[in-house]
Amino acid sequence: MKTSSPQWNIVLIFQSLLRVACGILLIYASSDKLGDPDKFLKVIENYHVLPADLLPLAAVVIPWLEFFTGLCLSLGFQWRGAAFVFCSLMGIYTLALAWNLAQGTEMNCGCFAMDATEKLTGWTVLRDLVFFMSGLFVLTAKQTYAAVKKE
Amino acid sequence: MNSKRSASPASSIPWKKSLLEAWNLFVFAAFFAVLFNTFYSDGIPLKVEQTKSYHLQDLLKKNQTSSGYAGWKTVSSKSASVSATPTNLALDQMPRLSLLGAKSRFDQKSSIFLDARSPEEYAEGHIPGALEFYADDFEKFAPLVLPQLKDKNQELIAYCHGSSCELSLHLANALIDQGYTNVKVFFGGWPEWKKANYPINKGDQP
Repeated sequence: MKTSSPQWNIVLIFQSLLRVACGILLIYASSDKLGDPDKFLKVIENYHVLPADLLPLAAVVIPWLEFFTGLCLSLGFQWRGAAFVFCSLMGIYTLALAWNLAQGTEMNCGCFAMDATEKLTGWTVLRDLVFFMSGLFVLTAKQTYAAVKKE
Repeated sequence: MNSKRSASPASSIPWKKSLLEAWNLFVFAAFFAVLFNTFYSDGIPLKVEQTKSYHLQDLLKKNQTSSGYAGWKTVSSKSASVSATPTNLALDQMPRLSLLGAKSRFDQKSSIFLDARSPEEYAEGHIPGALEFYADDFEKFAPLVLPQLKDKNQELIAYCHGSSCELSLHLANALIDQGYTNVKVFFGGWPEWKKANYPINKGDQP
């Protein structure tokens, strides 16, 4: 049996666990949005970053993109591409939230629950930044464990 | 030194394959989402209808035909429901400011604050520089305040008692009807401002 250094294995295990965690996180985040595109449209409208013509399409596509990306990450199916999408989503969310925070806009993040009264703060931006960094860490993994499809 | 160890993590990523997978995932999710939305009972139209606009600018264009104080009267009528107003952006559609956002604009003197509360409340204390503009008495206040708001692109910030009060929202909607393009609501309003121990003025002068 081929062995590598124990430390490297621990990193790979951690990256694999993080991959699954990121996947579950996205599935959870999408669950409240999938059935109510009209409400989600109002949430993303408040971000004031997308043109009006693109809002309905984004309200329909983003929740399903989150769901399928989460599914791929947690199952380890095309996980690297999914990690790339995860990073892209989190990067966009972080920038949009930071921009609104800098503008002093009062808004609900709508990140996990659309009816939540959680206000946008620096912590919200920091949290999304941590998610982004986690995705980046998963993306840079040399390989992953517990995947349905090996590379 | 082990040269493999010193290589950057990014160099280990098969970028081409990753991008292709990401693109495939995006296309599949988008296709599925549109298909699902088509047959889903609570699906939404993907094309923005001309009569239903999502942006403030579109709403403004739509309502530019209303002129004079007719719109104000409609809004100011206590018996009229909010839905009777020509522009009726709900709170979650109206651009809002946090306490910090309001304070930074106050410090920069870049915006005009409008106090939508009653004259008595205004006299008891208001944000320094805020104009008295009681939202429930438009007929009296509009001719007094509007001539001072000549620049239609000037940022206007309406506030009232905070979460229990919709006067600022009504005032903001009415201002939009008058052609003002940059109206925001500081929904935390007077209670948040006072609680933060920010400067206040008393009396009937701004």
